[in-house]
Amino acid sequence: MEAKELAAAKFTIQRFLATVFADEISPELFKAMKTDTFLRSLKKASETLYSKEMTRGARALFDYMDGAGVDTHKELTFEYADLFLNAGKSPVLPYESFYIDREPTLYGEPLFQMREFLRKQQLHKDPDYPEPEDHIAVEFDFLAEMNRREASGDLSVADIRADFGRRHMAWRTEFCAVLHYSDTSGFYQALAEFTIGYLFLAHLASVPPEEVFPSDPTADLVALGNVLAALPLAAESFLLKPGTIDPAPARTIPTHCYACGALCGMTAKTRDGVLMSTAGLQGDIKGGGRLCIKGGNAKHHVYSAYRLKAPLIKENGRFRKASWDEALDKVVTDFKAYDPTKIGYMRGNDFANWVHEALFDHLGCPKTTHRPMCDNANRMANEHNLSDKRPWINYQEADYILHFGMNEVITSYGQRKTAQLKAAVDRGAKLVVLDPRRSETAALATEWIPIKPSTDAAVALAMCHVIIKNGLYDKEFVSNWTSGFEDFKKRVMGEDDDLPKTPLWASRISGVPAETIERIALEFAKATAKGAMSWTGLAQVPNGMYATAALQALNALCGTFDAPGGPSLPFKRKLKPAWGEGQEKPPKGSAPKLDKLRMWAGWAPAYLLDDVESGKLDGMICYFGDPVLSWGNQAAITEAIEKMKFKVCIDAFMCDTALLCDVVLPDSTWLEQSQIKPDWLYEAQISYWAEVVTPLFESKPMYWITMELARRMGLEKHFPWKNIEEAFANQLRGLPCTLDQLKEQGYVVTDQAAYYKYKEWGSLNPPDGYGSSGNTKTGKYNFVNPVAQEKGVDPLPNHHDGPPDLATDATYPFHFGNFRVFGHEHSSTFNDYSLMKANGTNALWINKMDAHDLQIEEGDLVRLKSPWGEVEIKAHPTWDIMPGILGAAGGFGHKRGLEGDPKFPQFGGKNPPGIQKPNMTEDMGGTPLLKYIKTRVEKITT
Amino acid sequence: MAQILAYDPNPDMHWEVVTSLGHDVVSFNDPGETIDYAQDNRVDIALLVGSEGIDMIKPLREISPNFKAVLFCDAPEIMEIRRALRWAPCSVLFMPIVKEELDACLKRALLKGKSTIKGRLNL
Ligand code: SF4
Repeated sequence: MEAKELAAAKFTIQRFLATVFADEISPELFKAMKTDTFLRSLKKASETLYSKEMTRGARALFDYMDGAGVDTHKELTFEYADLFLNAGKSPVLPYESFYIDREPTLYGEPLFQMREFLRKQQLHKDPDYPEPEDHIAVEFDFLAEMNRREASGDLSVADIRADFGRRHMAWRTEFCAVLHYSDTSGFYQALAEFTIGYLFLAHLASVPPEEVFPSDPTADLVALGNVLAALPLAAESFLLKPGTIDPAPARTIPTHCYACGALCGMTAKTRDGVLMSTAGLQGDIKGGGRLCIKGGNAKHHVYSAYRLKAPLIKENGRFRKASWDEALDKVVTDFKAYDPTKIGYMRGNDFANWVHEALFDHLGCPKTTHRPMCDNANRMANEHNLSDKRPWINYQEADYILHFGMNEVITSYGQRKTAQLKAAVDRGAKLVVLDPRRSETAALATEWIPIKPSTDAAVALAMCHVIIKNGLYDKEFVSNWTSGFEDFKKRVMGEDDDLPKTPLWASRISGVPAETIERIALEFAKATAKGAMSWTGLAQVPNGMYATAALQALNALCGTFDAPGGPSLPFKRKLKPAWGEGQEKPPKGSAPKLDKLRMWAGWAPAYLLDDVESGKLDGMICYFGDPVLSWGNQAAITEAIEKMKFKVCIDAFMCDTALLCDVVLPDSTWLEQSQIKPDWLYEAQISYWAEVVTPLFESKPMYWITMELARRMGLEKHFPWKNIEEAFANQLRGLPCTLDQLKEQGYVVTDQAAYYKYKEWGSLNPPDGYGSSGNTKTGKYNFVNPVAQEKGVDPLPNHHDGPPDLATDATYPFHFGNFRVFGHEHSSTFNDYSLMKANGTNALWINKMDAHDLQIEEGDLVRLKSPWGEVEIKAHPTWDIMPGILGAAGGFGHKRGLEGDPKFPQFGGKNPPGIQKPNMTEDMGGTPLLKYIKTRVEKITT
Repeated sequence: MAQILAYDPNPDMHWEVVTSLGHDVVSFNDPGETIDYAQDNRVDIALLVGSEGIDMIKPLREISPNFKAVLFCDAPEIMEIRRALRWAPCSVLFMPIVKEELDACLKRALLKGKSTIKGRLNL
């Protein structure tokens, strides 16, 4: 047999395989494979081939195509989306980078090798093909091209082709096994059989004939090539282009991390345009040159094999690939069919939020954000009594630090601050942590004080009682910089309600011994550099607002604001509008406030089912965030989304919410888009996020998506920028830094840290040109919450029992609370293989005595039940949680991605907060009660 | 140079290709003898042929949880390859052995050090 004839046959087979794996199977190819002529010749070949492996493959393909019906092609587009676009449970991950270690992070060494290989052959991947060079289709297309050259007389490529084929054989074999396992249609299983048959045949053909005698693989290859030659396959390479592209120079790019809201400075190293590693950015005020495990593993987030790659549209309950034009047109057309005031806009991420919020505010869509999920109860106190939601404690100089329900060491908010906290403890500062659980911070602390959930207000008020009774408060600060002290004092001393807030009183409520309360109150008052702080530990329980106000009163009594070691008042710079001269920001529409809480009105997402059932919401555009796993009762949120008539999700991964949506748009990750943002810790700076790598696959940043939606809605005049940098330039007008400086350094410090800034400002509010999240109307610390007063709500802190139906009882004797782990951020990091290797599942923490009573041991499967749902989870008996309290790390439980992929059964956790009471929050700010779910535990004995 | 343990049920199988790559090879046709040898001797990597070869990974991993193994098939069946991948082999290669392919596979597997094996896929 002539080498040219063999090469021509292999060219056809490889081009066929490149075509079927490059994209959805086209209607033309499908039709051609259904013709009688093709099927007859395929069947004949399957009966005459020598190789039994190839016979099996050809027969499987014949059987499938022969039995294919009229709807089969449509079904295959769904299957393609599931298998190749990560819409399904078990994607096939068609990249050599995955198979090299069987770890689902792409853009590994094989990508660079493949680029080099192509370069040597004066080829490059077609930039319009959105997959990387080590995609199986590109490799088959490369082999096809080599065979085409050989068939047309260029015999010099034979060795290159043979060498390449051999080196890249093993992973393609594994790919076939994965494809065969994952496919549910039968078509791709047949293709897997066909491909493996071919690979083996090609292998046999590559060794000396005497070694495979009496088989004749070359004859089989030619026969197969003749069958496939009848199909409409591209004659020229369709994924490769002639010409070499030199590798892009290596770069070190200053940018910032956005894996969590701490926004640490980061340097990103790239090689040939690929992100290789991330490290801290020296001098940055938030990171201080450090990154945590999440920031340090950002590469595995960007290159996660589970990224969404193309827009998806749901039909008949399954997703298929769509073009951006089709998907965006559908979103706009469908959107216009509804009253925009009934289409909610949820943004879980504030990346470049000035642009997308402007669009949806203009349209009159009710908006929600992370805020009412997180710490709105805290904010209802701090943002009105003080000037910010969370003034950070200056740990560097503190000698006494008091944390209520806050796990600073892993909650992070800036690696510089975390490092300072650890250093403070190392140098002898006292850290006292009140928490039902011995969190990582409690473990670091000088003293862990276990406390019942939602009783922190009682302890903090009792501490205030001790301080006031003993005259240990800062009289100068209280008289000059606070308002309402006398009323507060009456409340604390029990003069207004006949209930003195003594340590004994608090002890009965909280379970914290009265002597302990008295002692820490005295220690705190007498310490010189100190601060008290809380966060969501107090927000996600019934009495969050008052607990926050009570503990913040400790800072106010002791005049710690802006004092050395105390909470530092925020003063971040305000950016100017992105709309410059002659550019018109779209006017705001009148979005209804969906949920009216006692202190706050807006869209509180935990009420989603109520909002949908009462007709307030018909639909939702959900950008970054997973309501199903994070908004409250999982069954209720799921039901609400299912009942919506219009639902669109914009996300980098197929989250559980995306699964319920009709259109899913692939978002770029934060390392593939840019923004500028003012920030502060003790100093203030403007931070820059660089587009470190160009968006992968067909993903697009939210800026681009917004511009395209606006254009389709005829609103382009309000979104006038040539590019995002024009908007940045507008935002930086009059500020003490330029975009070039930001790009070069990653940040510009605009204001140095200072003590007692409020004395210079004449107010606890920062001056014009600076921003913080709150505002004190008096310019002083308000012991009496002025907004509460206006709203007819008790303006003074107090302890209140939670609603009776949430209290523990004989049937549900435990309170469950979720907590964070350092290795994850909410529900957004569960496709990062490195993070999952470290934290791949969650378990139910239960006190060892409770576990003993229930005969539960480490690793036992238990059923966690509330009156509103149940979940099965493994138990972790420990002394590190109070008796009567249960806990588990939150964010787990995804149906798709690494947690849902049955190929990796070692990963996957549960979502216990999903069994909380539906349509229920604390009553001030609408924060779900993630840390106050009454439950019982049963050992599963089967 | 690595210490290689080879198993093939076919008594005619020879492993010169491995020695030609500069490695020491000890080969067996009996699964029990293969495991016994692995029990008592230093082995860097095992080369295992066929369905019985897949079955042998479990006892080898009982000897050492990160026992490295390369699997070979002379008549590849997709269900067998799926089964093989559950055992986290270094690679699944076709017979007859191609020297360059085996060389690349061994180099990569040995480079990863004693305690690291490739991931397993539950197929
Ligand atoms: S704390 Fe970690 S995840 Fe958060 S911004 Fe800093 S490095 Fe990134």
